[in-house]
Amino acid sequence: MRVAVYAVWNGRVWAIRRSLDMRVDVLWWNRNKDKLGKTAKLVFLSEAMAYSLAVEVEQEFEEQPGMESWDLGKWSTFVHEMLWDVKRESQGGWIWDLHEAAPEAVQRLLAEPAGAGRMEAALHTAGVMEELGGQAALLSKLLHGRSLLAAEVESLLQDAAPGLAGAWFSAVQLASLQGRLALDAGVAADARPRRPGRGPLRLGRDRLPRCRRCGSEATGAAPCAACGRADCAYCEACLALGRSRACSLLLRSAAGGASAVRAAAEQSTAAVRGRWGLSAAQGDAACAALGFLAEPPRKGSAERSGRAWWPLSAPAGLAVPGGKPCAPPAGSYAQGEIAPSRFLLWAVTGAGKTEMIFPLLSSILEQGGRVLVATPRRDVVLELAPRLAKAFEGTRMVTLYGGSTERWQPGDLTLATTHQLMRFYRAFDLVIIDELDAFPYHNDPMLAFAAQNACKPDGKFVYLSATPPRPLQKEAARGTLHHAKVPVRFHGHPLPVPKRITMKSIEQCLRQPHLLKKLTEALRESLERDAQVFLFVSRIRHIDPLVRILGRILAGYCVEGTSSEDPQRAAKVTRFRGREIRLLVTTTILERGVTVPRSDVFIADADSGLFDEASLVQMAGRAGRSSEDPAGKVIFASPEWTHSQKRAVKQITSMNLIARKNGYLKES
Amino acid sequence: MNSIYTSITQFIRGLLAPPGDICLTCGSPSRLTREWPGICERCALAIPWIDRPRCPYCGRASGCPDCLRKEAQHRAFVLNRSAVQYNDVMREWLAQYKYRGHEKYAPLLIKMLSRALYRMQKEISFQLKDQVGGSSREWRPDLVTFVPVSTERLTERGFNQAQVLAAGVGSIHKLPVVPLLVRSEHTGKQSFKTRQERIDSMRHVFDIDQESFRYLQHIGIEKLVSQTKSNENSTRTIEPLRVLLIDDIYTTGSTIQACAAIVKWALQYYLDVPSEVYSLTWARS
Repeated sequence: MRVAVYAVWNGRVWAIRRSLDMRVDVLWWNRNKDKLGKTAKLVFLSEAMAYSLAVEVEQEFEEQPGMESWDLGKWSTFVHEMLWDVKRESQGGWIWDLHEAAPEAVQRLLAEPAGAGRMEAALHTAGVMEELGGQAALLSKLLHGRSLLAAEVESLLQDAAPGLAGAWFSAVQLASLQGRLALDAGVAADARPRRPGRGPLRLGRDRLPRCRRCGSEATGAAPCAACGRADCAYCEACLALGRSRACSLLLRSAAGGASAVRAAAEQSTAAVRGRWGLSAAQGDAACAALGFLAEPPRKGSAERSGRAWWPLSAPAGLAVPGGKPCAPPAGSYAQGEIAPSRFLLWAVTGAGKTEMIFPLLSSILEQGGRVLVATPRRDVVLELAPRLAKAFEGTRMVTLYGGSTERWQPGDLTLATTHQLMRFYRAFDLVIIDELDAFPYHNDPMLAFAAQNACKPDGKFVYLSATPPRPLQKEAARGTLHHAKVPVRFHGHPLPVPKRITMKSIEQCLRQPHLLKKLTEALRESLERDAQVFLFVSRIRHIDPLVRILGRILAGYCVEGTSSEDPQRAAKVTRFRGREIRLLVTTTILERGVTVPRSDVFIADADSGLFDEASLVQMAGRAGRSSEDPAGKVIFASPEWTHSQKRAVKQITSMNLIARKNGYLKES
Repeated sequence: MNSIYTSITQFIRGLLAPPGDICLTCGSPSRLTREWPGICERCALAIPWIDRPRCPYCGRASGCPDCLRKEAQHRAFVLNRSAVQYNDVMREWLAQYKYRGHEKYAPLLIKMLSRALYRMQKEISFQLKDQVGGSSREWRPDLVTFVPVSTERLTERGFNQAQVLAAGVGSIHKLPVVPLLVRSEHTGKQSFKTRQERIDSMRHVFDIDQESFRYLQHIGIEKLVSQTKSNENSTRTIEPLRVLLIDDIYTTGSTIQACAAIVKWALQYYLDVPSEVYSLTWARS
């Protein structure tokens, strides 16, 4: 899009501003001219500049001596020099000393019909400005805690305030002048000064434009009909939520100026356990987390200790010439500023993580706070939604995922897939992130950025994971990260510890099936003890031949294989659960979230680089989930004993040890 | 300490890793094809090309009841050819490009469309050769144009997919691309409509691009035609101007029909040139 650009002089400093509706700005500054001082001035520079250029002019602007006495020609040259590599933008200039009568050009501007997207009525006529004020108030209320592109705002308004839809530019402009909304660009270069002393290789990179919504580097650029630039940058990383462009408007408004809500002080463990039906281990961990939620915010824990984990945390605040108000760029907290503090709830597979979040949610909701539960997968959202709705009856709950109908509803309890987090800005007092190490979070700085943005600066993060990533594990061990461990499953039996079978790689076994003998014997043993058997392999291409060979060797048992490329995957998993299929050959796609009672787990090629510590622990966690058969078997079959395998076994045994020490285990 | 160690090993691993890129369409890291920009071998093999259209008029790969209807006899365009069948995968590709705005798809779609144009040229040349008095020269369009979108949609999307395709094909095949049409009326999205609604909504939607026609009048249309026919003996009457109309998808043909009718009429009316309109679309549903 294209916007108007003008300069304001308040007697001391100049500031460049951009406007979606110049009429609003003219009236606003005219009304507030006394605050600006006696020599206040407006210089109208351009009526329609490409939005990205307008942002650039605003960011790069530096005052020149003697600007107060410049004429239009000088201003025009100045602007062109700033945008030296871009063709001349259209000019409609005028200069207005606010304490004198408005020049004819201003009168004309006010009388002219409004452009598309703006309020139609002539703003300077009686009562219209008041109406616009009402619209601005409504708009900023609707956009509380949101970070939305223009197209999303339009869609929200069509839902929530159809009267405003299609004509909200004027109201947005007024709200931004009032300081209730921040007008940002979808993609823009960071304004912060270059960091000195980072070496020559780093220097150039700081200036790459970034997507302000998801924090990724904007890698695409294309001719754009909306702003007229031939190289309008856009972000390819978050296309799924609508395209974020250099010339698209990004509206952002933090929810509520008040500080984040904290949980009420200490509650007794017994009370918490009784109310939510938790086991001893669950109750202890939940109480530790509740204690954390009751703590006052501390300075920048996410910033200071989380460098490795938050790849995009920015080190420095904004230096704004002229001291004009400006929202800090998303995702960065200035040093010493308060940043959300974090808590890790490290619960073994099958510990009943979901039950434990209930007391946490309720503690914040009872204090009138807003909470968010984010999970990587849509099916988890759909499964969790009815349970949460039942537990928190009477709370406004919103379920968000791609294609959700509740997209724009406001709620106190929000349950969302991770991508939806990008639509929020400093909105929540508590953000709970489920399965932190699962696919979309793992190594995706974009979602970490979005999560951090969605939380209030003095809010709290709770991570749930059975297998936290290494950096977090280390922080926990070092004591810099608050955490609580749930070392035992809900049924109170220890986790099955993996055993080892040394055998050739599957690749070789497929060529010489007799090499599979050790594995097939162990498989037969499991099948004979009437267990359901998972056999994990590292490659999809191994599944079919392996199923054929095993089907021949283990005749009489139903052997099937499934992978991410199998259209009948869901049906096969159901048949496996129903004990129709006895041996299921699969890949890591079934490593999480599948619970099959009375199951044994075999991992072939456990030394493969595709199986890291986390996925080995997760796969091992499929065994012994039910209380009827808590001692499932876990076998790592591989030619070599790798670091990942060792660490996975160590993690499992140490959890068992902690459980035994704390007396959570049933037998002890 | 450890993070320094890992960053060093990461760096070295990055140097030693085999060259692999991320496939544009399936997102998996693998070696990309040379022929089709940005996609891997597997995705390239899965493209449902229409190499032998069953319907000689609309270029559909399966039998086509639409072309047997009575209205179809009075079509303003000669024929349509499409590069691919519009299956789920192609639908996803087009959605990524058109609705999501993933403009890295543009080179891929252009290349695919260009392949279709080569085949179309061969096919038509072959047919012309069989006809009595046909020339042995290869058939070539004289000028390329495209289906326009409304200004509203253009600012919303930032680009017109048909224009991008036309410009790309024009530069590969060295053909002049002229915007002959504008969309004078904003209709809702076609994909939400039934067949009859689509046909009805297409009337009065397109208009000619005044500026282009003035320009064509100014330079003289003969310039375009003469390029291809300079060698021929001019005993016959003037040959019609061959216009190639480009769009992303051909569903019922109503858009193409409406555009072709206006182009034909306007070329005759303003420039006094008889014309034949051929349609080339990326997908045929």
